[in-house]
Amino acid sequence: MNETLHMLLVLFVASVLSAAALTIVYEKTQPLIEKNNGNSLDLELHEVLPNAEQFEEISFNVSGTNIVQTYKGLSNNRIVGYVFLSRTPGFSDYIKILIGTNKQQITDVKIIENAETPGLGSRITEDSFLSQFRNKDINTHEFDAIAGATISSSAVINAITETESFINKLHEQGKLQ
Amino acid sequence: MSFKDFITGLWEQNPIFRIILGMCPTLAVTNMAINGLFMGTAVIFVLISSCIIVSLIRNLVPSKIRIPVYVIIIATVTTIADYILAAYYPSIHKVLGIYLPLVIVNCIILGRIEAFAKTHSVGRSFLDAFGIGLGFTWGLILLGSIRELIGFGTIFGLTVLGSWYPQVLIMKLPTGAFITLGLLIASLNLIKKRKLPTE
Repeated sequence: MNETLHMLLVLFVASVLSAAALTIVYEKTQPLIEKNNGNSLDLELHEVLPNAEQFEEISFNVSGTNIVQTYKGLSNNRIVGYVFLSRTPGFSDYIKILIGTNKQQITDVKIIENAETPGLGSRITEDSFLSQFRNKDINTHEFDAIAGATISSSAVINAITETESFINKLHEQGKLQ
Repeated sequence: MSFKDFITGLWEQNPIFRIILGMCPTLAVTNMAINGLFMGTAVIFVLISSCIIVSLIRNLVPSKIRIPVYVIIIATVTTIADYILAAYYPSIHKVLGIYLPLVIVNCIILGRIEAFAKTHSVGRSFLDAFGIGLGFTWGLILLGSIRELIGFGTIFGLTVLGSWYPQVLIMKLPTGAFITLGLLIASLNLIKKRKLPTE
C-alpha cells in the first residue's frame, strides 16, 4: 500500500509540475504567437493582392464550398479586390490557400499551410507551380498539375477553380462592389 | 565525465547505423538533406533536455512507474520547445513545424533515458545525449544527401546535376529510404569487418 501511495505521489507531482511549466510557458508565449500569426497573415494578404493597402474581413455565404474566410482589400476606401482563404483536403492534411482576385483576374495564389509529403506534394508551394495562376482571367479553368504530386496539386487547382466559380456567382448576384 | 561518452554515439552506438533505432523518422524525412538537418536539430534539443532532467531526478522515481514519468518529461520538453520557437523564432518554427511533434514518439529519446541517463550523472548524460543526437543528425544528413542527389540531382537545394538529369522518383519515396539505408548499413558493416583483425 505504501509503495502504491508513493508511486501515485510521484506521478501526481510529475504531472502537476509538467502542467505548471506548460501553463507558464503558454501564458508567456501565446500573445507573441498570436501576434506572429496575425503579422504573417497580413503580409500574405498583401502578397496575393498587392494593390490593396489594407484588408477587412467580409462575410459571404460560403456554405457548400471549401472557402473558410474572405477579405476585402481596400485602397483609398475603395474596394480593389477580394482575398479568399480556402481550406481544401490535400494528400495528408488540409491545405490552406490564399487566393487574391481583383474581380476579373486571379492576382496571386499562396499556400499558407500544408503538410504534404516533403519533396513531392510540398512542391505546390513552389513558384514554378503557383506562377501559372498569376494574372489569369477568372474564367480560366485549365491548369497544369505536378507530375508525381497529382493529388496535392489537383487539390490546389480544384480549390482555385471552385473559388473562380464562387466569384462568378457573387458577380451574378451583384454582391461584389 | 569522459569524452568517450560523447564519441560513442557518433560511431560505435550510432542510432541509425549501429543500434537501428528511430527508424520511423529516419525513413520518413530523409528525402532531402535539409529535412535531415532540421529533424536532427529538433532531436538533439529534446534529447539533451530530457536526459538532463531524468538524470537529475533519477533517484526520486520508483522504477515501476519510470516510463510514464519519462514520457511526461519528454512531452513537456517538446511542447515547451514548440511554444518558444513559435513565439520567438516563427520562421524556424514554420520549417520545423511538422518534425517537432514527431520527436515525442522518437524511441531514441526513451532509449537513451533507459540505457544511460537514468543511471548516470548529469554531466555524462549530457555528453551521451549530445553524442547520440549528433550521431543521429549526421546519419540523417548522409541519407538525405544521397537520396536528394539521386532523387532530385541536388544537395541541400543546390543543383549538383544539371537539368539533363532525369530525377529518380523512387528515391523521393520511402522505398528509396529502405534501399539506401540497407546499402549504407551493409557497407558500414563491411568497413567495420575489415578493421577488426588489425585492432
